[in-house]
Amino acid sequence: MSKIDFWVKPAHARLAALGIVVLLLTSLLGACGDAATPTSSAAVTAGAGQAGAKRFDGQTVTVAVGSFMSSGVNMFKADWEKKTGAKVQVVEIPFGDLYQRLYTSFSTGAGEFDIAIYASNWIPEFAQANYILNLEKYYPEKTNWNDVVDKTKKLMYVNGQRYSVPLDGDVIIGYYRKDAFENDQNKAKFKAKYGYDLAAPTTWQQYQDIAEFFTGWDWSGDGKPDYGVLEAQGPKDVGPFIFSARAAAYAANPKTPGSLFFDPDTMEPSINNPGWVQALKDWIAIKKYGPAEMATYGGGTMRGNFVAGNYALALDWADVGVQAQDENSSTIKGKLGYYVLPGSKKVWNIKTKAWDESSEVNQAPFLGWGGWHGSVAAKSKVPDAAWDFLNYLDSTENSLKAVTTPGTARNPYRTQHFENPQLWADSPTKYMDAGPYLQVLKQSNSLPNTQFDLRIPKSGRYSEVLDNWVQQALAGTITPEEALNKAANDWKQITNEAGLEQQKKLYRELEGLS
Amino acid sequence: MKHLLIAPPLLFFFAISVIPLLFTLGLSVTNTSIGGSGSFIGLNNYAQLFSDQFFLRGFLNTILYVVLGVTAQYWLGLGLALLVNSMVHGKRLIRLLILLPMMIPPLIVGFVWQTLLDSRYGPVAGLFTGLHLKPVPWLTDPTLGFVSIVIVDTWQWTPFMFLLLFTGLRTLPKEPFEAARVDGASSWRIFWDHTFPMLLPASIAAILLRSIESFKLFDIVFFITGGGPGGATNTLTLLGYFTSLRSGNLGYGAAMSIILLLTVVVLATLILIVVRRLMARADKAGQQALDQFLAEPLPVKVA
Repeated sequence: MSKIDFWVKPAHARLAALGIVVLLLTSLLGACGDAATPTSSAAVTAGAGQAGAKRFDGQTVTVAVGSFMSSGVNMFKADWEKKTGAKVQVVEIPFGDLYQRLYTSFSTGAGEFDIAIYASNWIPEFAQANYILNLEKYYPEKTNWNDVVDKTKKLMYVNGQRYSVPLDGDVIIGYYRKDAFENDQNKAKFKAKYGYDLAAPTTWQQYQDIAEFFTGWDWSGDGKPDYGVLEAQGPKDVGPFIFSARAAAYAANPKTPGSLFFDPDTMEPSINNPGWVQALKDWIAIKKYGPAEMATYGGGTMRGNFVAGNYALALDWADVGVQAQDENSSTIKGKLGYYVLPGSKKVWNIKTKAWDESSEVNQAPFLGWGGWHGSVAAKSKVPDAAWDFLNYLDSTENSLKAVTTPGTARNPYRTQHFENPQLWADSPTKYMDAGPYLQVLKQSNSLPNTQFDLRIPKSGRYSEVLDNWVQQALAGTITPEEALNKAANDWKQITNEAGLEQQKKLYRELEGLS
Repeated sequence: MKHLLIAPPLLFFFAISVIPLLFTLGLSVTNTSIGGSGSFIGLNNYAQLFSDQFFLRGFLNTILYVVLGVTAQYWLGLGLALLVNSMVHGKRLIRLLILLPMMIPPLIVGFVWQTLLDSRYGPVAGLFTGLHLKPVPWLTDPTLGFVSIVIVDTWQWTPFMFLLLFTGLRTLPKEPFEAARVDGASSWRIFWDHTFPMLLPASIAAILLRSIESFKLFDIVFFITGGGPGGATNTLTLLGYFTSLRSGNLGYGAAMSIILLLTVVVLATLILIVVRRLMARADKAGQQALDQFLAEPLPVKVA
């Protein structure tokens, strides 16, 4: 088109062309402005989403993420795209299929994804198979690394190298109904019956007493009998994590570190020792203090029911706390108390094959599932952009925004997340009295005997087998001893299939044993 | 040359049906796990299956779901079809209402029935409480959990039986029924001697299709009980899914699938044989009745 053609075009065409020119100039100025503004979240973490000259222009980063965590990614997508010029394509995968989809994609070299966001328990397996990138070369540019809590940091390492960026912190804690516990009549009745003060339980025996006390009468004042406890005991869900969290108090002996799941010297399963059997007996005993439907509840159902208001005690990750703040579905906002998982005054010693008894309570909080972490796929063609986006998701500002927004499935994992309850009160969650909640989460993450989940290859199979047999015991089909012996036999078989020496080496390494 | 014309559909059939089957068969004799690592282990997976109590329980459950569920669905579907067929007014509305459960997505079915059967706030529990009866743990007792799944499956799939049988009823010729009525046959005799035998082809199709579908029962169990309590409601498909895709034990899961396939083929063949015999017997009886009818002189009314 000649110059003359342009000027003889109708007025609206000329206006459109001028509009485009103005738009381009505005964008250019905007970009310059962005680059010069040090207050953007990108500036908090060096390199995270820095606009510069839009260094990832034209690149597309494909992110595979478990479906219920996707909002924790999507909420930052547009901003990062604007800053970097790249595009983010989020592929939501149903959680149940996530492991299989990632593994298949990685192992076939399909190169479908640049970033995988998944359970930190799978990091060792993916790292050993060279499916994910060693991120050591990128970490020097990350300025907010030190703020990550120590236990979460450890989840990122394999062979002394970091393979992931943390996006979530997962530790199981206890919840109780503060309003019921602080009621003077309840306190007096409880003391008269059990001989000690009604307070958040510190041992599993106390937990059971409290559950019994609050079962079968209307302490919530809604005209219907209430229950003492609500836990996710349903099959094929979060049951193995909750059960392992209960077992840790009896089976994670500080004198024999790394012995919760296996004897680290022999890789003989520990899950049928008397500590685990005691935990299973407790778990069966607690059934009568919850609704019959508890036997079918998974994590989601349990949370929805607990915040509806008829249960005195619960065990869960940080999610119940956040869900309780939503007044549309919760009747317990402001009525929630928190505690580190109860412990035990006796703990099984796998070496002496006897109980170690003490007047001190052995507390062993459990980092069940380990939390969402992000890794860059080894076959990614845009690893720098992928790292940059992950880093952006984990920037100081964005991570705080994510953990305080309901529905992101991201829980606190940076020291900063635990330190300022007012930030939580001002956040979209509008958390009421977040102080005790954050304190319990922080403490659970940092006790010396806090236990990691099982992270060696085939952890999914170990978990499934344990769940199958434990479910049999919960249904009363077989005894707890029988169930755990059978589970242990199956575990031996899985270990042998995977290679005993290889599993032992990795198990020891991940447990911090030489 | 003319045989070459059927080559494309044959190749298509081979590609979408036979190759995946052969692949699954091959997988079932290995210890392959997700990621592709695995080696040939002969029939070990199959040997292990028959000592695996979860598999045996799932297998038995699947067979029971098929037998109990399809039987209930057939008779209820037939009853509804006869009822609606005999209605004079409102047939279309009733037909639509009956078909509704079949159109509801499994997730919603799971949610609705979990709520209905909840022992605390479900309407069923409310009914029991109203009658001064103890709430029944429908989903948490192993036996009742199993019964609940049969009830839900029957609720959802009786409409399918109804649809096929109702369509079958509408295509039956009217003359034999009119003749029977003129002869003064009772409703029961008309049903037993005419309707039921004449409806057999539609019945076979309905029973066969539902049986094959019932063997694949997955979604209702997955959403309502997850296979629990203690595996009491597990099915082979659910087990196969968890074994293969959740635990990554592809070889073992493939062996489960092959056993399921063989079971379906064997039982479907048995059903066909039994039904064919029934039909032959019905045809023979019908032929005899016809012969007898033709042999008898027509009654002549003398004025």
